Amino acid sequence: MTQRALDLARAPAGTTSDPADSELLERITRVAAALFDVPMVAVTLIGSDGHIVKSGLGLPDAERRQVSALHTATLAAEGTLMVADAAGDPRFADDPWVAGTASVRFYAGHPLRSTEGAGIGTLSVLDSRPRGLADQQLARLEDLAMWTQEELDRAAHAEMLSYLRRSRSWLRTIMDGVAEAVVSFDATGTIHFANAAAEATFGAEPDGLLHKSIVTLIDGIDWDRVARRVGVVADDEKTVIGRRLDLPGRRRNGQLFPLEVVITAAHVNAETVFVAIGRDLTERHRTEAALRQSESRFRTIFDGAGTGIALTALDGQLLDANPTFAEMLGYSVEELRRLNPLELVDDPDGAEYEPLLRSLRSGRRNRYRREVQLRRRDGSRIWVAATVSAVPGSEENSVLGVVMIADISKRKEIERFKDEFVSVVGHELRTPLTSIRGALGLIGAGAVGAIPSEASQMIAVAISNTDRLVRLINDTLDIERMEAGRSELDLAAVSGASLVQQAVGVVQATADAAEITFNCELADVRVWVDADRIVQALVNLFGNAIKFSPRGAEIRVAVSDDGELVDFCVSDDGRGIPPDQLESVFERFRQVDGSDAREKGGTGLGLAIARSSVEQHGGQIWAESGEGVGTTFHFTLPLANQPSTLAPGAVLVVEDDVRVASALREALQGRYGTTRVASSAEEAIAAIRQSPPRIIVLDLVLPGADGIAVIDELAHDPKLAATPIIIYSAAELDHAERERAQLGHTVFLSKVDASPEHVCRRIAQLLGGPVRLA
Amino acid sequence: MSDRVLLVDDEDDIRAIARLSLERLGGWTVVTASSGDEAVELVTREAPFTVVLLDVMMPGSDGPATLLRLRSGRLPPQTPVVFLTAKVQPADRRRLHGLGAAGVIAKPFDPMLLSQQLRAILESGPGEIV
Repeated sequence: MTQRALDLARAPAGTTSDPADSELLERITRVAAALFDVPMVAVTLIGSDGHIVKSGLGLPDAERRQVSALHTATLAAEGTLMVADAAGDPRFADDPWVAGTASVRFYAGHPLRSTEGAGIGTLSVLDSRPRGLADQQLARLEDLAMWTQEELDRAAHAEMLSYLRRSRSWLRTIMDGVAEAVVSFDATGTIHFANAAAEATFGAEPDGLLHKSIVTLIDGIDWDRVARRVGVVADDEKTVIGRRLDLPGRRRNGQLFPLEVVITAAHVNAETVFVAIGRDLTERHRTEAALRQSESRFRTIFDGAGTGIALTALDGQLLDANPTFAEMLGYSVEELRRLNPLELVDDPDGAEYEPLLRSLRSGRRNRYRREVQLRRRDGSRIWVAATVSAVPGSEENSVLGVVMIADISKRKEIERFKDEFVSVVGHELRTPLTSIRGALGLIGAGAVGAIPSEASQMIAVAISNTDRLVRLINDTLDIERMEAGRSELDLAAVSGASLVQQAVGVVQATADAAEITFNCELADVRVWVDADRIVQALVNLFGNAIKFSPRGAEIRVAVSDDGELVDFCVSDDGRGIPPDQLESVFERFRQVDGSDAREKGGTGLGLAIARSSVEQHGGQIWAESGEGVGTTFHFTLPLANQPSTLAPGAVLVVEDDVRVASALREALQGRYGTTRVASSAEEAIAAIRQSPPRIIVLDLVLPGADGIAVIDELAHDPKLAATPIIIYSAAELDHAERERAQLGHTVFLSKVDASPEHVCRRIAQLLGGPVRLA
Repeated sequence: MSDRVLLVDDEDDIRAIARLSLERLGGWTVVTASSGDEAVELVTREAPFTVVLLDVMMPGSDGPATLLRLRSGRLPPQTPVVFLTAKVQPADRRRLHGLGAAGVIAKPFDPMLLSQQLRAILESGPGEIV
């Protein structure tokens, strides 16, 4: 019997896990009591502190717990120990069983031995009066002892088997649960155990790996050699055993795969058992390869991109740059790494850029764009469109910046050229036209001598076409200026009637020549507009109406208001506009009939200019017509607010950059008085609560909470939600950011494009009427 | 004695046409200068003038600069200066009036009307262009 079986068998009665064992012993003791006609029978087993009564028929409780010398003596005896009268035997007279309540006088006991011959306990019959046993009875007692011995063995074996089964299934459960392939094999390489992962990895059916050789699973291992030397030459063992090996594994179909394996050896008695724990690296290798490939792909893109790309630590260190980036700035990549990137934007101490970088680091923004001039190594400047995007760094919570720069110096050059062209073209084209027009005029009028009447007609043609060319140049320059946003509105409260009268004055001579009269119905309203621009729009509409009206017709002009907008309406009795062209007449060089431009002497730009002007004022323009029933043009303009009084500090500037703040304060001083400046969102909210501003100029990137916090504060209070806001920010805002910042009247201006004076004019537009300083 | 005008323009052709127009159709006595420098010199040497007709865009000393030099030199303060310019944006006009110009005449001008335009400005004083 193994030690475990003994332990189980020796457990005291009632604590054993198997009640069947106790029942069995009880049965034996009952048979013994009847067979020998004794009142007491005991089966004892040797426990850690002497004999323990395992089954005791007729024994008082006290004796069950006491160790008796009778049992010890029995184990020492060769065969059966019989004591006829223990009270009279000096060895046992004082024994607790003899002297105690059981008053044992007669004792006959036989030792119980294990299969290996070791004594494990006793079977004994006892009586409280002296007596003896016949030889035949002694032989029966020995038989009973043998039977008991066998029953104990059988029970122990059954218990052992059950334990083995349990632990085997437990081991299997664990082994099948591990991700690694686990295989155990003997010194010949024959596999005796393989877990589910091993079967999955090597591609065997269940139990298919058993009895195979380990060399069929692991390629390139000379197992015979290893096995021969394992346990013989310690050094050689070390080369394979217990080390992490990268060897090719072989699947059932013969396919090799990368395998990482550790083989351990356990010496059990004379045998050596090996355990191989392996991991299939196919997936890892694939991932690594994919990563390498993707890295190399991005490296190729990075190195070959026409856009300059750099990686920065957002705290001033440039980590990497592609050749384009370096080339654009005239540095080597190495030089750039040693450079503080803020020196490229002439902001070495970060006064201007630090707030932006901070907002990227903190995650409040994940990207910003701006057009900026960078300083090249040789000191020259290059215009770039720069985008800085925040990307997570390798350490937790670290943020890196990916800077992309596109060379826009050509575009800037073109823009500059266009600006110059626009301003120069007026002079350069009009100067020769002035001479031509002047010369033709003098000749045509006979100022330099009489000319034949046919020549005079030709001169008239030349003059009218020169005039048309001049108008075309003027209109082209006008619309170019307006659409490029270079034409600023100079707003004032003007009477609608006076605008109409001024425009009528301009076209009066032409109208008179065509015998056309104006019928005006003008409400007494004031509009908040740039008068010159609106007069020009009206002149263009009137010119159009005159051109298409029959001789002697009437042009009706009406100005009316609905309390918010003022409607200007110009109607003629001309040939009308087909419905499908009501929109397109406002496009450049679009005329209903292609021959109009020639016949009517127009430039094709008049209505486009009118639309630009009206829309720049925030109004709308449209045409209503049916073919043959005349045309009505409408446009709307904002009604001028009543003159209002601005208290000092009515304009609140929220800006942390002191330079920008003071430039704004200076620009606004003259028109809007003293400006309040808040350098953080918290200060701004405090200022708003103290006294609500009429208008706010807001930078979104601020230390601490950003500008959105200020907008949220306004949004909470219905009285404040209508406060006009000019978002004046260095970075271009994307759609989502604009959505977030949108509240009532919100205007977005870029610090890159819009000067403080520009901000000043937008304030005028948002205030919607004349102001007085308190 | 007829009214005298100092005509300053860097373009020979324009000077010729304006001179013809003003002399033949308006009866003016025309003195021409082809640059600001020459104007500064002539305004003293050929004085007095009823009016100075001054081109805005000229190389070297341009119209506004010439105006300042004439005013700080020998041109009497009561002698009006009228600009002749291709730049006719309202903002440009306001800027020129702000410099103390009596008026602005747009280029290209109609030679039949030039003299009338000039007289209208002189009669109405500083104000609108015609």
